[in-house]
Amino acid sequence: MILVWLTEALVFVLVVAGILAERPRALMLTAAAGAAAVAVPATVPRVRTALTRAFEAHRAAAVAGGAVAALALPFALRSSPYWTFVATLALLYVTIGQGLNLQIGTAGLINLAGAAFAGIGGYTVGLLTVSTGWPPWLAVMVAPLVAVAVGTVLFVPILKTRGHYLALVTIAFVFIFNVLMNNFEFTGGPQGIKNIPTLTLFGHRFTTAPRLFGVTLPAHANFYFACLVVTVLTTVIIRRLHDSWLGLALNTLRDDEIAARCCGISITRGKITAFCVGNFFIGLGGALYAVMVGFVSPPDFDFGYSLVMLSVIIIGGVDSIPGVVLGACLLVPLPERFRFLHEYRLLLYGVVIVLMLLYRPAGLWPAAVRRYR
Amino acid sequence: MPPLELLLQQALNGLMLGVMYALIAVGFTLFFGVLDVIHFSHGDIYMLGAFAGLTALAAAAAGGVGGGALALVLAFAAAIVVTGLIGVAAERLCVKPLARASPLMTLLATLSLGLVIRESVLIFYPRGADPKPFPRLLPQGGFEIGGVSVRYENLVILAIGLAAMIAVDLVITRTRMGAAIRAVAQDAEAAQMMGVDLDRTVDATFFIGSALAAVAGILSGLYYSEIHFIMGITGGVIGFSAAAIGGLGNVYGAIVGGLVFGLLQTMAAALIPRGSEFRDVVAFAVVMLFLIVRPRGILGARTVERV
Amino acid sequence: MAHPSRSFSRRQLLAGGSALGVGLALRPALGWGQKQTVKLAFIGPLTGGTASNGLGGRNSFLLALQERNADPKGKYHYEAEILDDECKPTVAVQAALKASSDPAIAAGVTHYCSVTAIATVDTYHKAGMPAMVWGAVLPEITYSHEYVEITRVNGTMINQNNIAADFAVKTLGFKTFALIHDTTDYGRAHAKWFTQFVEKAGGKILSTQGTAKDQKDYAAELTRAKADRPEVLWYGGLTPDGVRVRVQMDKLGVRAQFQGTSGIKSDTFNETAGAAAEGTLAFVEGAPTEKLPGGQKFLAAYAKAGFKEPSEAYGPFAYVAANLIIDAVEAVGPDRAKLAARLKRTKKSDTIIGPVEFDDHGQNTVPLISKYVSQDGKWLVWEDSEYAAGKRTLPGLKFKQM
Repeated sequence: MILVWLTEALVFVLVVAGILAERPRALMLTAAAGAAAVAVPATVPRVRTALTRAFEAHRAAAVAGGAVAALALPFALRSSPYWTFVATLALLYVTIGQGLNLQIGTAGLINLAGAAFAGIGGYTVGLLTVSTGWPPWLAVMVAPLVAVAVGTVLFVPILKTRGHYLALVTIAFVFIFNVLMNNFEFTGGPQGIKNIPTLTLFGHRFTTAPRLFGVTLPAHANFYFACLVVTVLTTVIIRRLHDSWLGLALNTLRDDEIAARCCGISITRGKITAFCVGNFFIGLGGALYAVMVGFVSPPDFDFGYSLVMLSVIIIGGVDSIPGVVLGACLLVPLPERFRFLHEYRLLLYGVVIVLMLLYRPAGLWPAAVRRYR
Repeated sequence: MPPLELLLQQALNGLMLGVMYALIAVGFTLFFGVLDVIHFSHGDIYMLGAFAGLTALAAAAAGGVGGGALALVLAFAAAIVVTGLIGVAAERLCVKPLARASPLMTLLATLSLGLVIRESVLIFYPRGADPKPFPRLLPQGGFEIGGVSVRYENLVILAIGLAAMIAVDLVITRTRMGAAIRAVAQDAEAAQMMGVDLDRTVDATFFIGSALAAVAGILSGLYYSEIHFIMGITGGVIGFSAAAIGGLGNVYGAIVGGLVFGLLQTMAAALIPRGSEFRDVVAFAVVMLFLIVRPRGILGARTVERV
Repeated sequence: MAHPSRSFSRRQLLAGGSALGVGLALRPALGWGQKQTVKLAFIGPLTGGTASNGLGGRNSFLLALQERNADPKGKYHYEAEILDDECKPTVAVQAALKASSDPAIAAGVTHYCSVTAIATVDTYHKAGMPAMVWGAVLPEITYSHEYVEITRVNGTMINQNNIAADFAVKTLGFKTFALIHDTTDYGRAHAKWFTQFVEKAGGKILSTQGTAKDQKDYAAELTRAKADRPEVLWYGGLTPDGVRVRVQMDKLGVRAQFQGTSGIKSDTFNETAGAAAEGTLAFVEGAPTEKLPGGQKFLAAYAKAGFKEPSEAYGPFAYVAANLIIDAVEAVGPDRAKLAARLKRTKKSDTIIGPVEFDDHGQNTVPLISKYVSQDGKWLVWEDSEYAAGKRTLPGLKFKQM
């Protein structure tokens, strides 16, 4: 148990150091320590087995340790509102990624319209709060349902096309969504919707910096904790679904539709359920994004963001729930960390994704084989 | 309703656009045929073809062969070879190693590769962020027929496009390599058992497809007199759409699909009020509807599912 | 306190070979020892379709810092934090947040794209960081609020379109216009203002068509516009698209005068459009750099610094913004609140973009809009051109006479 906590503490310290280290010497030290932390278990089998065994034996302790680390992160990052914002963004990508993973990973529905459904969530919040004066929290709760409702437009293509053709239909959907949002008057055109009111909880506005245990945190920490709750709930729900008969049925129809039908699985119902549930969480992520940033505009939800969502899933591990968490927590902050590369950043991002796919095609945390005990 | 000559003029505009789309789409469909993958960086290979052509023209001009048909032939030859080889390299590096994995892998890998190609041109080509002027090597005049103004340029571009398509058709239907490509497309395992060298066939396919993209790139440069590093993004998505409308794996379908998409975009902008703002919406909505009605494209094979 | 070697190594990274010259030029400053370091942020599009403008702005900004650091009388040593906003609002907000949450950064020279500038206004205000816009022209960036932090050295599109419309209708005598604009904030708002002023001046708008940014093919739109036989084809958008519209006009035989907005007044436009650029009209806020006191010096210094990319139309604005901020830091120190108050009261008559003075909204009350015409591959101020002298005739006027 101590070993588990020690490991987690070490990871936490490394992450915080990696984020905050600024001077070259500190940065080098952190990078070296990080490399060592990865290399030692990777090359020394004794350490690896010891760690795996410890984590398997003390699951509850591991989860508790992880929870403490997640709650403590804003305190460690309190000097930087920017990094608190990025951490919150990573959490939103976990929520979106879990929804998308149910569609793509579990049910095999290649949905490249993730950005559009997040956009529907975000725009719904914007329209409801700014144009019609709804309270933000109500809008955030309704927005995912709107995403699901708009998703019904794609029911027919989802059932009738598959594979690359479905990919194309969803790509077309993102493009159409983007052009429409950009050219309609009521969505604010290219400027989008500004001044979306922020959330309030028991009279505490989310834009005021919270004081917890005598420490003043950046204002974004409010959203960090809110999104942490949402993300954990999402992950638990998706995990439950994944482990239930529904998840098994979806896996079956993903791998072989005919065999699935022979087993009495309704393809129609399975695909539609996965698609709707997925869109719900993607829309939720988009809605939270809108209240956090305070504005939405077309370029926030273009095809490029669909790709980021897709890479979160694939780099993490297709159909792997912890994989999505890991993928989002790496792919969102890392490009930010490398901002100092300027023009070279996107180039490097592309190279890294290609290398990861070639050398770890199953993802960083591949989906475990289903076990029923 | 605009007068007829205006419609015909717009149809010509759409046709010009469609020829370039068709050439890109053929690549998509060929790759899908042999490996069952969508090679998403193909749009950026098309862009690379245009830049290879431009570089070759600059080199030719520096070497004293400036202007005229000879420079153009040299540019086509150089761009075809260079782009073809880069296409093969992309396939070896990024497509084939993942061909057996889920289609998602190739999708993401090739999209990322496209990003790398695009950013490399932006950063490493001299002043790559700017649009680049492309020399006007074709005769610039034109004539009017029935109220439609036709430029000699248009005719030459259509002729080159047509020639490229016929050449590919001949390679695929009349040569041993073409037979191998068709065999692999039909059944890779059976083809291998019959002595077809899979690796060589795949390489050849990617060479041909990328070479066509290079032709499309240079034609685009000649037609618009300007190329830009971002031209591959839309080129890729539209090329894929065109290939899918035509039925993935079917070369003639891709050509038809390319022309259809070009005409759709142009006519949407030409006929609908505020059409220019919504031309892509119209084009993509038609693609979506079309795939719902004919999920395997115009000329896609109708397969019977076997249990 | 930063480690001396850091500014050097960072700078090398940030622009590769191009900024190497800057890095080396900063070298003498490494021995400053006692001077306190102040960080200034530059935010603009360094990647994507408008990257050439962003890179030109960045280089001009770096040039300003480099010159001031070389000045032995300066009280502070200035260090650059360069951030890319990719011309996308989300990325811009992240960049703005990054800059404004770094206490070492005193102020920023921010944004070329209107969509990014308008998106980040609240971010700077919340953090209290002074931000001086160097390129975005949407009126709302300064006029939608009264934040003390936000100032803008370049003018808005309102004056620009007023002058442009009056010039075309009243001076040149064009009566009918066909408008094409990109569907971003920039193009849409330009089209709106230009339409308004043309109609006021007595001209007529025959058609208005919006097109996607980075569209390649304008054949359909131009054929449609041509059917109405306009005297002027006006494009509201940025250089890459402007080049395409201009070149394709010729190919489709659109016989009209081509007129653009500030977004096409770049060296790239002339280089890429080639012969087709001849006689193109464009309108930019402020006076031409080379004509103002110090303008030649700027261009010479820019050339000497060995940047890979040209400074483009808005480079001088970024240069001036950096200099104004440095002036203020020298006067009141790097405290953000004091700096913001000081910057807003800026009154300087001899910058390379002309006199700078901000109104209540932080908007530079630019007294001057320059009219440009492309002649022999260069942008010339209208009054100095052979077109104004009567030696040449604008293509649109030739068509009219035929």
